[in-house]
Amino acid sequence: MAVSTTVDQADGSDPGEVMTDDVGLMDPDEVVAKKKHPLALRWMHWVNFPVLMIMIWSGMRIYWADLRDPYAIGIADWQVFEFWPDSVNSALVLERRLAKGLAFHLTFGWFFVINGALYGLWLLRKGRWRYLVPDVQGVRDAGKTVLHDLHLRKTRPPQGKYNPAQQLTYSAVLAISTLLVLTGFAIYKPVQLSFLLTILGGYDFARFLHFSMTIALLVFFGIHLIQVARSGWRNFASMITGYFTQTRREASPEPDVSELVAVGNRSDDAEREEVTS
Amino acid sequence: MTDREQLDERAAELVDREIRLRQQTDAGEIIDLADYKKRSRRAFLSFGALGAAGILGFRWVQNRPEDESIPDVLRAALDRNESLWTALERDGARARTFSISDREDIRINGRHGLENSSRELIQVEADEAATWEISLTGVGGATLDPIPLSSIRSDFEVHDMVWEHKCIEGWSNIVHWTGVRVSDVLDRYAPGEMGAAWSVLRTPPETDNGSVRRDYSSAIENYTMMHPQTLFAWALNGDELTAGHGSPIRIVTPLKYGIKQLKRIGSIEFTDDRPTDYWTERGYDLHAGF
Repeated sequence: MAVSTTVDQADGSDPGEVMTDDVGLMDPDEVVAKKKHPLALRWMHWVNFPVLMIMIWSGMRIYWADLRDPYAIGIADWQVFEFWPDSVNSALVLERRLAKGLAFHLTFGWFFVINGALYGLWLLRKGRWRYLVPDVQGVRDAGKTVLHDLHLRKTRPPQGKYNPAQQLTYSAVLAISTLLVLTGFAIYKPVQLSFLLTILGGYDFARFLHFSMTIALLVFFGIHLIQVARSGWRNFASMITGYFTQTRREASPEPDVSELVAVGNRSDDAEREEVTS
Repeated sequence: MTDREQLDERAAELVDREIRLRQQTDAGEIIDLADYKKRSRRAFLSFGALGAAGILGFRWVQNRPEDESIPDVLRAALDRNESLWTALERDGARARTFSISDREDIRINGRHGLENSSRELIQVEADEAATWEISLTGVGGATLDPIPLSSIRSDFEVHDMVWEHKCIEGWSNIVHWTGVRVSDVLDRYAPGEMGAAWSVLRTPPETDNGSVRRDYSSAIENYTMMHPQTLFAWALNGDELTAGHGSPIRIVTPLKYGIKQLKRIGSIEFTDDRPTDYWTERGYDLHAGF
């Protein structure tokens, strides 16, 4: 079977067809802007940020009220880190604010739920979940992306809108957020939603899950900030404007089938152009 | 198929996949820099405006006049939440129960309504308990015949129930209560009041051993009062209630946080108006239920 045939069948047309004529007349080094993030996505992303901050802060106020401080990182009696040290409690004004913590948490939680539901519907309706959820090859490639980011590997695996590590991370964040909402509801209404509580392993375990998923989200948030800083201003701006500035050549890739064939034959170790994520 | 052909096929699949991946980003609209600058300015202005609105909105919430110790909009949200959950309430919903062997010790957490002016727990002696009565006030303020504790302990079917007692602070323990159904008692002593929306339970301001430093109260919806898992209880984990756990009689229900399960009941008032109670006045949800 000839490789080029497969390519033609997959695409149905020459992928470069639309652009070829235009690009031919234009300066390939001209800086242009290419649409990257749809408006709906940017809205949901930026609404989520303050809502999540309020949820974590008010949740920490609620957690403070359990004076046992039940959660810590460590083995047996050896505690590496106790949630939360007094310095954190006083810096974030968490002490003796249970009533207000609950009031904020049980009010703003709805915004998190609504925003998340809209995002889920949007992913399904636009088919965007395909960008987000890695395929088998994507899962295999995720480690290579990380190695590349750590400068331990020269090449990066092929990617769509998100690289394989992003796909895994963002999918995990989706799962974590869903679990946060479910455990939240289960410990909020354990009798009315007793089926949910049973599925989630009972009151104590659901509460532990709710807390640990929050910590997971905070870890993600830290990594996310580092990656955004690494990716630079153009990438950050694209989350606000929706457009990513680049040269016209970068913006109008003409997939060179012969190059891709070579890439395919060399498996996934081929050198690739940098794609800022 | 030869090895060579298999390799070719795998390579073709990977090429195919990569083309599909590239299509995710290839389709993006391309605009020139002048156009971008215009749109970018607008986007950043909107972003800034939204950010400012968010901060101002948050401060607005925080600075709203307080309604029972929390910003009024949050109080309204809590009440709205409860209307929603009440509407969703399933008839016959029961809290999970456990077996007696699962029961755990539970600490004394709230001492409100049980302490004298030197913050010592006031003991209710046997002779005082023998004549203990829960006074009743009907809707509109009419005084009803009180409920004698002796009647509670001898005239109704006794139930032993084991469930997870949950504190609003976050901890929980499986505990075993012995008592009678509130619904059984009120059906006899206040049958005309059961159409009212609320019961407000209060600790007695005075006991034989001194007056109470800080009165405690708890408002409970009557549909919860009448729930088969809501009990007037006199024993915890098989032992008579101690002063700290609310001797001689308290209310318990797995449908509410511990703050609602008033210890040492002195009186119950029935009302249709939205009531308040000790912790609601201090910013907590009036309903505080599951």
